[in-house]
Formats: sequence, C-alpha cells, structure tokens
Amino acid sequence: MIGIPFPITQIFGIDRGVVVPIGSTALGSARLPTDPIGTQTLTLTNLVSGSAIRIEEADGTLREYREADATSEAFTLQVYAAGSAKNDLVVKVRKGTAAPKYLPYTTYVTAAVGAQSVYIAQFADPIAA
Amino acid sequence: MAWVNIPNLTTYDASLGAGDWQYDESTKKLQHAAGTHRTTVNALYSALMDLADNADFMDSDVPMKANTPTEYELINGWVMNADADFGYLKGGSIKDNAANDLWANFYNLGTLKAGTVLYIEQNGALVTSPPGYASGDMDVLVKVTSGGTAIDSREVSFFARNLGDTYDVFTIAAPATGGRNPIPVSTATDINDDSGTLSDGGVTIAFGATSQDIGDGGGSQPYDVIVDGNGLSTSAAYKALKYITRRQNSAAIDNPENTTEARFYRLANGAYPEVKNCPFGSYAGGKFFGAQGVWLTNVSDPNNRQLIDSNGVTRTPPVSITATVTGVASGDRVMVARTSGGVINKSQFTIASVTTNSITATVAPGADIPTSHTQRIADTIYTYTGISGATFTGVTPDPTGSTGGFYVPLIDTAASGASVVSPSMIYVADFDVTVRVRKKGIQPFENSGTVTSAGFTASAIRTTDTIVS
Repeated sequence: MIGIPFPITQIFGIDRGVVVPIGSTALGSARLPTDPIGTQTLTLTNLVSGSAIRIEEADGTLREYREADATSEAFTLQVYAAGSAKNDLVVKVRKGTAAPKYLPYTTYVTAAVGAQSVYIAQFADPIAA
Repeated sequence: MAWVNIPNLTTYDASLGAGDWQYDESTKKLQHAAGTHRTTVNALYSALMDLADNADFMDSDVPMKANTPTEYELINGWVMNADADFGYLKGGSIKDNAANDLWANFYNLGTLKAGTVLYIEQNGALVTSPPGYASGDMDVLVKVTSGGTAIDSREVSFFARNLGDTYDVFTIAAPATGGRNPIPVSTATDINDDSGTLSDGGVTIAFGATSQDIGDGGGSQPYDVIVDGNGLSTSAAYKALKYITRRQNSAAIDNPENTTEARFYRLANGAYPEVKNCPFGSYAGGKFFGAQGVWLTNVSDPNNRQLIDSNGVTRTPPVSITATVTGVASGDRVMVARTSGGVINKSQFTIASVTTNSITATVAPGADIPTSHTQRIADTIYTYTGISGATFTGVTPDPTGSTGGFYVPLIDTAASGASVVSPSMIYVADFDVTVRVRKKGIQPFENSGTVTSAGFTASAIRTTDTIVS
C-alpha cells in the first residue's frame, strides 16, 4: 500500500491491496478486476504484407485493427489480472482482396505482461480468383 | 443488420450486377437478390473472400471455404437464404454445413442438336431447371443430400427427349464431396422420326408378364410389356412410342401397373440393357428393334420386327419366301426342286405310313415346306392340304400302298402365264435347287440356283427347237 497518511484521512494509490484505516476515515482508489495491470508487446511475424489484422477479445470486442505493411507488426496491448477473460485474444489475419490472396488465418493468444511473438502461418489461396 | 450487397462482385464476373448477391452478417445468410445472370461458385467464393478482409467484416466469420476449385463449403453457420438461390450458381458444388445439405454440380458433355431441351430427373421427380434455361447445355447445382441423408444415392439423370431428334439419357451419382460431375448426352436428327406424329396413334402399352410366340419355332417366350401397334406400321409405331415418352409427357406410362412418368420411362426391368434413343426400341433399316422384354404386336408389317424376350434372347419373326420362274409361256411345264449333289432329291422324305388321304413321313417336315402344295411319290403327283406333325393331310389321289421316298418340289406345274410362283414358305436355311422348263417345240431349259432368305428367282430362256417335228 502506498499512501500519504493524514491524521484522519488516507488516500490510496492505484495499486490494489488491503485498506488499512488510519484514524476514523480511509479514502482511496484501487484497480477494478477489469482494469489493466500492465501491457504486452505482441509481435506478429511472418505476415504477408497487405494482410488485414484484427485482434479481438473472445467476445468479439475489437482490441486492434491494422493492415500489415511489413512482414512483422508489433501491437501494444493492455493486460488484465490473471484469469481475466479479457486476456484471451483472437488474432485474425486475412488477405482476400488483392493478389496474391491467402486463406484466412486465425490464432489465439493469452496476453501477459511483457513481450510475446506469434508466428503467422498464412497459406496461399490458389482457388480465389 | 440487414441485407448488404456483396462488394466487388463484378470484379469476379463482369456479367453480374453489383447488387445480384447479398449477405446479412447478423443472420449469416447469403442470397441472390437481383438479376438473371448465373455465376460460378468460384466467383461467389472469391467475392466473399474479398469481402472477408474488409475492416468492417473482420469481426464476422468467413462464410465459405474452398476444398478444391470445384468443391466449396458454407462454414461457420453461414447458409443460403433459400434453396432457389443455388439456382443462380454453377461450376462447383457447395456443402451447406449448417443444414448438412450437399449441392452437387452437374453439367452435360457431348453434342446437342440446336434447340435440345435437357431436363433432370431425381428420385422419380423432375428437378427444376436453372433460372432462365430454355435449351442447350446445362450446368446446375442439385441438392443430393438433405439433412445428412443422401437423396436416391446422390443420383441424377439428364434426359434429352425432343420429338424429331434421337433421345438420350445418362445417370450419374455424385461423390460424397459433391464435385463437378460431367454427364455425356448427345442428340441429333432422328431420320426415322420426322416429328410429324403428334399423337400416340392409338398405340397402347400394357405392363405385366406375358408369354408370346413370334413364330420362330422357339414357342412362347416371356415378355414384360405388350405394345399394341393398333395396326400401324412398325415405323409409325416407333414414332408413336417416341411421342409417348417425350419430355412433355408427365403422365404415368401405364397407370396403375407402371406409374413411372412417361418422360422418365427407361426400362421394362432394371437389369436389362437400356435402349437410350427410344426406351421401347430403336428403328433402323426399316426394322423395329425392340428393347428387352417388349412385345410389339398388331403392326401391319410384323416381319419388320426384331424383339428380345425377357430372357435376353433375340426373337425374329419367320421370313416368308417364294420361288419364281419367269420367262415362261402358258403351257410350259415348270419344275423347281431341291437337289442333293446337283441331282433332284427324290427321297427328301421317306414314307412311314399312309392312309387313304394322308402320308406320314419318318420325320416332320421343316417350316420351309409349304403347308399345302404338291408332292411326288415316284412319278405320281399328289396334292396335300395340310401338315400336322410328320403327316401330310388331305392327300389326293389315294396314296394307299405307296412306300419309299417322296419329295415336295417348290414348283411342279404347267405355266398359265409368263411366270410361275411357288406357294410361300418359311425361310430356314439356304438350299440348292434345279429349275426345269420344258415343252415340245422349245429346247429344254435347265439351270441350278440357291434359295436364300430373299427367296429364289430364275429367268427361263425359251429357245425354239427347230428340229423336233
């Protein structure tokens, strides 16, 4: 707990923890379970330039959308407390408009504070005209 | 969400209109919304894949996948809005995973006469033709699996039955993956069907086991259906049978014995070989060749039939032949008789017994012996009026006491005109004969020849005998 003690009031920092009353009143702000606890740098490698990338939560909530302009793209994503469903992410990569075209690719990652690299294995679509 | 045009359709098929196909993200449905152009499944697939990487569609599942260039699947819960939507597609199959339906693709190969109208039968029913189809080649998706259950073993048949043209039909079973399935069908002008017979001519068809004798000596044989030609010629009966089985005739071929729609009728029995250019039999060279199990009767030219009984044995009516000698004059004595080794065979038969008016031979005469004619025992000429087994009946004069050999000449008479014709007889096999024409005042004429299935004709040469007084 980080706080500035006052004779009758204490203001809490942003970390979650046990609230210890000092005096007769305790004031504080603490993270909710849905508040991020940090960030992750997610790097997608082996991308086909021009691919559309959508990163979404399991319920479809959009986290990131981008069109790749290189074979590697880095995303900074917020991370939530361990066990949060918001850490379960779906990565969709599609390229069906401009040739060469590729089959839709979907993979799943679990966000964690720090850095993570995901290899994207796109396969060419020889059938789409 | 509502129906939205699938973008870039015209990129993949320039004949499509921009709003021909639509999708609804909320219900995961596709539909043909406008236009009459039928596009390929590949074009639809390509347009959907083009749509799939659009930013606003990235939150939706991909509607379709391709297994091969001709086999596609609707996936992730996507479906067609209605079965009719499949009518606007061609060139590949689609498996609808949500409904567990399979729409296989079928198309015809072969040369079709201009104006040929193809139609499809599945499980005894007519499959709706693709939208806008009038005639010519057909490329269509047909539902062959519904709810996971194969319809008629995934078989469909393409028919071509247009009056005036040769008929054709072919059946194929789609594989479990659907696929694009070629069906060979070809048509041409039928030189034996001028399409002018726009009625059944009174020809009737009656299914049911029957036993019939064509007179070929084999006795009664089994058949599956009787076709009564109503006194028409075999040629007219053939045209009438084509009329009955034309594509427009949805009536039962013989209700209630056989409720197959006439336009779908193909065989009397599924195990028989099929006659595709007319299901009851073909016509060529002035002769009707019946399909197996078809008994064609009551026609004006019954000799122009060749039928096949239910056992698969070809049955041909007996051929009636005669012998003719021309170039003779009234009063000429004419004889045409069988020979053996170039000599008249006077022991063609051997007498077993006689009565006052019959002669029984040791063996029964064949079908090529006239049923009433003359016969010779030694030099005596007898007439007979019938044959029963081995017995010549109605014999005159009384042959009592006769023994030994005898024979039945083809002709043994005095000419009363310029030619002499034998009684008719049934052709069995070729045989040799000698021809003799004699009369005092002309030199004897003698020649030899062979009686064939076409009969026999000899032309006598009457040369005056200038010496005889």
